[in-house]
Amino acid sequence: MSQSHVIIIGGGIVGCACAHRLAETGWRVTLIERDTLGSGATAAGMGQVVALDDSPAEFALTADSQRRWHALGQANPLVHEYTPCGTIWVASDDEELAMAAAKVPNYHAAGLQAELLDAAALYRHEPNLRPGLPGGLRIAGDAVVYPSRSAAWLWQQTGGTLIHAQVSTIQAGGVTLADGRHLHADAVVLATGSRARDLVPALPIRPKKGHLVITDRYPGFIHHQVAEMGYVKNAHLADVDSVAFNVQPRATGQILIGSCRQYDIHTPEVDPVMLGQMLQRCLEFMPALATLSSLRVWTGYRAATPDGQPLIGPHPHQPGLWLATGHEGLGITTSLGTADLLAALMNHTPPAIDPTPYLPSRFFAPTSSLL
Amino acid sequence: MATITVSINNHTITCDASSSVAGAIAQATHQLGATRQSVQGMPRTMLCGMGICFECRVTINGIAHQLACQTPVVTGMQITYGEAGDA
Amino acid sequence: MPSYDVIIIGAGPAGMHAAQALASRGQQVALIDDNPDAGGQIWRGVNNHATQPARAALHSPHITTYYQTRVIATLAAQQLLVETPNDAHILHYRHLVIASGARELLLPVAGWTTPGVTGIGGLQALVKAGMPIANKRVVIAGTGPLIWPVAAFLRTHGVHIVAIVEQQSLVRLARFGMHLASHPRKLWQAMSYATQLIGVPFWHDSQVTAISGTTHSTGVSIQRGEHQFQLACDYVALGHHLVPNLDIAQSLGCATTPAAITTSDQLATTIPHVYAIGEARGIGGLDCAIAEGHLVAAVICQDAPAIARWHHRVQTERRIATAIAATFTPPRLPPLAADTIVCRCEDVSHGQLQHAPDWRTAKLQQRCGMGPCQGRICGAATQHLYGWGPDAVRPPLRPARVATLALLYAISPTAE
Repeated sequence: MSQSHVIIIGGGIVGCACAHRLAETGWRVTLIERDTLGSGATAAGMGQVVALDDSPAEFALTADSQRRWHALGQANPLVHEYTPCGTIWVASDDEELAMAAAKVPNYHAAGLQAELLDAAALYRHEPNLRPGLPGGLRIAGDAVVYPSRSAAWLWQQTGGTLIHAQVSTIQAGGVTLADGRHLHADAVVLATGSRARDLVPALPIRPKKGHLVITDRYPGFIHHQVAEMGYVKNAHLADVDSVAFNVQPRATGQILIGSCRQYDIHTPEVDPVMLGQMLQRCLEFMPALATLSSLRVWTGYRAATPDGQPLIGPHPHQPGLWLATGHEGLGITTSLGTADLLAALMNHTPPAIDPTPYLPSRFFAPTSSLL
Repeated sequence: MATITVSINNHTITCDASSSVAGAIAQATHQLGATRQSVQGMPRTMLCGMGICFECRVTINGIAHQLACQTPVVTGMQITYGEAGDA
Repeated sequence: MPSYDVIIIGAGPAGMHAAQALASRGQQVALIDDNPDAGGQIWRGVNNHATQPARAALHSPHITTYYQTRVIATLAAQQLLVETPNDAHILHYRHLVIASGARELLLPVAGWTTPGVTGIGGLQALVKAGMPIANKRVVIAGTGPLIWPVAAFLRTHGVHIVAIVEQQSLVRLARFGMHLASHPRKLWQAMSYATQLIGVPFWHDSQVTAISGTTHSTGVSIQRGEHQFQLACDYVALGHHLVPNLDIAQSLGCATTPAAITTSDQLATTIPHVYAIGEARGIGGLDCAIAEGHLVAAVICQDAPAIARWHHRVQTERRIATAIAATFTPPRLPPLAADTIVCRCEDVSHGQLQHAPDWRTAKLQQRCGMGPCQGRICGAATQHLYGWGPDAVRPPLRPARVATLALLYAISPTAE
């Protein structure tokens, strides 16, 4: 029996995870990447594995993915630098602490650990937080990984063909590369993150620029990913530039400092004012960051969709084209769940979670011909 | 030659007042012994002497990752190295 | 925000003379250097008849000195973010003079991470900063113009120089000597080194292939043609000539080559209001640096007679420097073992890097170049070993406190 052949465009964590899962389920895989594996948003992101309950759809995909990362990371912790450090969501006031308390039953209902922290518990876990905070929410199952290496590792398991090239068009039955070559396939998966519109212009994807800072090694300075409760509000609800306190302990002992979001900026340069605002916000929550030595600052683009959920599934008007993009700031986390979901849809097998909220068809009127 | 005292790894050391922290460490130890462990645990110390290589990082007055080669000694300065966080 | 007519980055001989010449014409000058004092690498700790006038001139009320100060970012609207030991500032300039000098090219060899192995200029700098060296046994190895003056310096400090190991051939070195011979002042200087180095074993056409010792260097292996031999020593000083510091110019968008900031013959870079002088304009030596310091002041103040005078002097010095540079062949490395460390910050070995397709992959998969030296050491090595190109320069130009970068929230992106 001849294998079905799939071409995956984009060798970030999502593309590599999809390649991995499709190869596992019997596909012959070809991956096309214009740069090096795991070099786009995968390299630019924080490498966070977080279960977020801000909407049922987000919760289902992130919780499913958190479990998959746990299994992958425990099996091969050195490759992925899998660090099950957990997340602490810091409440700034009693209102946010009440929000945190309300989340605990949701996590428990999904079978995940969640613990409400009072002020004493908060400072016992993270003594470098500024005084006067009322408490927070600790999600012990969250983790940190080193995504560029995970992406390369996932790809290496497939035994597939890697082509370093730029795709110029996608057509029925394959793709055309910028050098004129045509490649044939039974299916094409588009996993190019914020650049998805380069190949499918009508997709509802906007790049959302972010900045990150990494410091020298300070082992023990923080023990969890620590983020403000307002992070999600700032990240997803506001359509304007925003900053939020978000710090993370890397396996190396380095501290990664974020985060900020800017819409529709297409220049990769560091924006000094945005960087300064982001760090001011972080210093408000964690003044001891002030003397830490920052080694590098970089920027990257999240692929944002109007409803904050990714696009996973068939393109409604282009048979044979499958989408795995639009993961915003959660692409590392949700890559594994995305891959499993996409493979189930492509293989017509039962998916682990309901795929409906992520289907691209939600943005396409049934009779329209947007493309 | 004027001298001052500083503390190096909790030992009081008298050194030339015009020294850098790197010079003071060398005076105290009579050689260029390791002042940090690399990320894989290898002994390391100053290489370039001019603020480029960052091999000479030590903790000065409680602040980690200071360059010994570019910091002049000051009376009473607390210099530590070789502990976690100097890697 | 403090504002200056001219900010000079680098207080070596070029920057010192530029500051003095600008101040004498009434310009308000800021002189910035990451070292604790003026002098740069060559005049570090030197206080004699040659350097005193230039040092004294820095006390002018027109000159503000910022020592132990690093340039962290170049910003829009002619602003710089700088960091001092306890503070950070945003400074504004009308003209910017880059006198950022050069650093030693340090290339990997087996055992080069062992304590006791330093740069050649690095050892001199450490000794000037108080490191005791008398009666120690030192091997000096590599190539480039630093070998002779540093060897002479160490000998006057009571060092037992076990050997000078120079990779150049005698023919090359003779050609170098002949260039010096046509410039009496430089020949005199070279002869004075030679006199101080009488009796020091000198191995040309030779290379250090390995350094022994675990917690401290104990000796070197030397390859000369087919012959391998060992020498015992306390310290090993290694260097392979100099490379200019280009990062600040690149951050500003100035055109550069690997060897120099691109400039007009009146020292202007490709970015308006920005000039480059001294070693950053290409390795040219002390006399050239001093002349360019004077010339840049004359250019900024539009002092036509001084421009003519110093321009002529600069041209002469650059011609000599070019001829001397041509006598040195590029550094050669002995074949590296797979376990030789290339990136010292992240402990990435040659074996982990030699099959990587490019610099970006090595960075992402191995963290090569991602440590606090920001690729300054391993970037030169990987360029030499694997031909990988350098990256775009981004802030922070040097590691900086979080609080320093946080100060950027207040900058004005356009206005002064």
